[in-house]
Amino acid sequence: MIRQALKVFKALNSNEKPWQLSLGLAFGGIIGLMPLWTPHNIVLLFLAFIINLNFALLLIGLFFFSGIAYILDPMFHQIGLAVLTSEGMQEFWNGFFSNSIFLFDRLNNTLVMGSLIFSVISAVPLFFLINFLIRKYRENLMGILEKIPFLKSLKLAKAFDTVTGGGS
Amino acid sequence: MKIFRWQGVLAFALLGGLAGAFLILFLDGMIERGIEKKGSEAAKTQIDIGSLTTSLLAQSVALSGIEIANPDNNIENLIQFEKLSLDLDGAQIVSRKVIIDELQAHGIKLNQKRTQPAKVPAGVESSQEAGQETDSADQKGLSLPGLGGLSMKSPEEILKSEKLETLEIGNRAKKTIDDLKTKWQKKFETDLNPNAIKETKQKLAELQNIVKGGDLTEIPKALQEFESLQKDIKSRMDRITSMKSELQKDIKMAKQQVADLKNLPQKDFERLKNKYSLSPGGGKNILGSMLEGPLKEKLDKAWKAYQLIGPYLNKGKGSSPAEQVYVRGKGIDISFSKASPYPDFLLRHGDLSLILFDTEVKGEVNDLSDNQSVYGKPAKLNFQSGKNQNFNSFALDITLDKTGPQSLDAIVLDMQGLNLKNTGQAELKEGLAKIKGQLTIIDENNLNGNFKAELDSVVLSIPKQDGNELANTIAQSLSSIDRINISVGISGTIENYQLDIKSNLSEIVSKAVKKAFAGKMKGFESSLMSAIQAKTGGVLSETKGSLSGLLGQNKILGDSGSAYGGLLGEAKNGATSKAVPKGLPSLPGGLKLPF
Repeated sequence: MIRQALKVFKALNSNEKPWQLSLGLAFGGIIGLMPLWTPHNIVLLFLAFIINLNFALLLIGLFFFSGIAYILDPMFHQIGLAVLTSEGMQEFWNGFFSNSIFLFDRLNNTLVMGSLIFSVISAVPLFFLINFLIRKYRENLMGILEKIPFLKSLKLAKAFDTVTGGGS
Repeated sequence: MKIFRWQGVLAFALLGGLAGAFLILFLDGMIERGIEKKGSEAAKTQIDIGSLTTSLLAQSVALSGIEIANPDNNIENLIQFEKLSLDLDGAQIVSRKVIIDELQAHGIKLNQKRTQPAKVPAGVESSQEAGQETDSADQKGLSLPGLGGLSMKSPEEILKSEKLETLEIGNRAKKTIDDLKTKWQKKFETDLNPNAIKETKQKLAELQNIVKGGDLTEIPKALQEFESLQKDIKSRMDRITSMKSELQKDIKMAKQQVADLKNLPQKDFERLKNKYSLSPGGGKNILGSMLEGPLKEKLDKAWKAYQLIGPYLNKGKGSSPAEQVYVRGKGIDISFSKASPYPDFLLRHGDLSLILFDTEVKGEVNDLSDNQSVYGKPAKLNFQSGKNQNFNSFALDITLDKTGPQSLDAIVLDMQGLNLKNTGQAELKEGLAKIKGQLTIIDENNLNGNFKAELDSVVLSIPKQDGNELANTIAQSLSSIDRINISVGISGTIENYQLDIKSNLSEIVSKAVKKAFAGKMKGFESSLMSAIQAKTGGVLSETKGSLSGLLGQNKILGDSGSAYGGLLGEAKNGATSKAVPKGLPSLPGGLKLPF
């Protein structure tokens, strides 16, 4: 836990651009909110590998939002059910799912479809919100927090760990 | 700052490669364990796979040593396959559908003993006890069971558990007659007051005295009173006559009830004799116990297997989103049949080889799917074989049709020239059998079928049972026959079905039973009759007593009638006995005025 907190702290105070951090968290959110073993998560993971985002924040987002997903599970089901069984969309879905790759992706599952819609839609404002907060943090708080001896010592300890190869 | 880090492709490829290598190395084992674990949980019985090999390039799977344990008998396999190979439609795997283009199943055996007892899968409640069915119907065959249930009960035991019609109707008749008696007693008290006769007598005497006294002033009044008294007596007599006719009706009814009781003990006797003595009817019971038990055992097994596979073949029903149950973490799959006109599971064609009576019978399965309403074709399974050492011909056709709103499954069997010697039944030494029949199951529950078996040149050898006279006599009688016809009708529902068994054996067994129990039956019958008489005698005599009481009421009424008749005569005579002087007008009823 401390290691994760340190990672966040380190990332916030690093030279990385805010979009890299917030995109990492948004990707983590999308992957975390959806059932893990789905083919499109592999695609997202591939994208995460090649896009220069912060991987530590992706992992933190993944674990955090996996927990949230469990709570929101019934809501995802309801969203998926409403979308997949909507009268007006039946023709579209019949055409969509005639491509077997989407069935392989289990997009006809209420939970997969509901969580995908929710996570993709919520990832956009989440990205901009986190981006904004990081900027604000760096502008207003980073300087102050760096002066706090405890956090300073944590940073030093982390730096020491990095140099010595140890870990907490 | 770069947006892309292309070295990520390398890292991803490396990870993917590792995952791929892992799958190639361990996929077969994973699938094997997956089928064993998940399959056992789904089927609620242990499933074992000897080996499993997949070929991704050929899109095929080969399995060997597949055993599915009997959920009710852990030392027996419900079905086992020596070898099973499947050619899959790879394109449909992407759609998460298992479409088997071709299946080869060899060495299919039913109800084979396991080398090791099956374990109950985790999360499944055990319904089996180790080795509980070692003496299953297969081993029992046409043996004569202990016939313990057929021992004759004592008449006292029978009468304890049986209701006697004589007692019921006798008590009812007695109550009716007693009620009538009470009714008439009450009527007599009110309508036939004994004091009324006395009062009439007294009044008559008084009037006669007045007339005798010759007081002319009193005579007109007395004459009026005579007239009124006569009217009163006549009205009472009319009432008695009407009561008499009413009483006669009641007595007639009561007598009829008592007369009806006379034949009831005999009726009770006949009923109980037919039920409990080993009469020709009892012979049918024995045949029932010989055939029905083993047959039902086999049928129950078949229903269980049918119900076990039923849900996997009928996903069409209950597949609409409204009917599916949402499970947290799993959601529900919505099917778009227009987009993908395939069921989740389909076996287009399969070649089967079933081992029946140690002989290979070839068969075919076509269009076996888990959702026939999507696929639109019923599943068909047939086995056929020509002449071999065990039978002249064998044909079994099974159709599982769930395409319509009402499912209609059918089994048609035609087996000619079955050599009974090789059926594994120790009692059947020789003989040929012809078995033909069909069974339809509507809506997976309602049964309707009939099977006929004609056994020719039969040589039966049923081992003797020490101390079981009945079984030995039946065995002896069966050993002399060479032709057996058995017809079994099946009706009802799977949970509650009836077997209507008819056979020429009934008569043979009946005769044997009669012979074995002739002496015992006679003794039983006479003691049963005595017991019935003893039990019903009291009620019958009490009812007769009540009837006598009612008849006594008739005497009372008769006496009263006679008494009033006498009084009326006296009244007439008393008035006319006195002469009326000349010149006086005649008095009514012959009375003459003295002036």
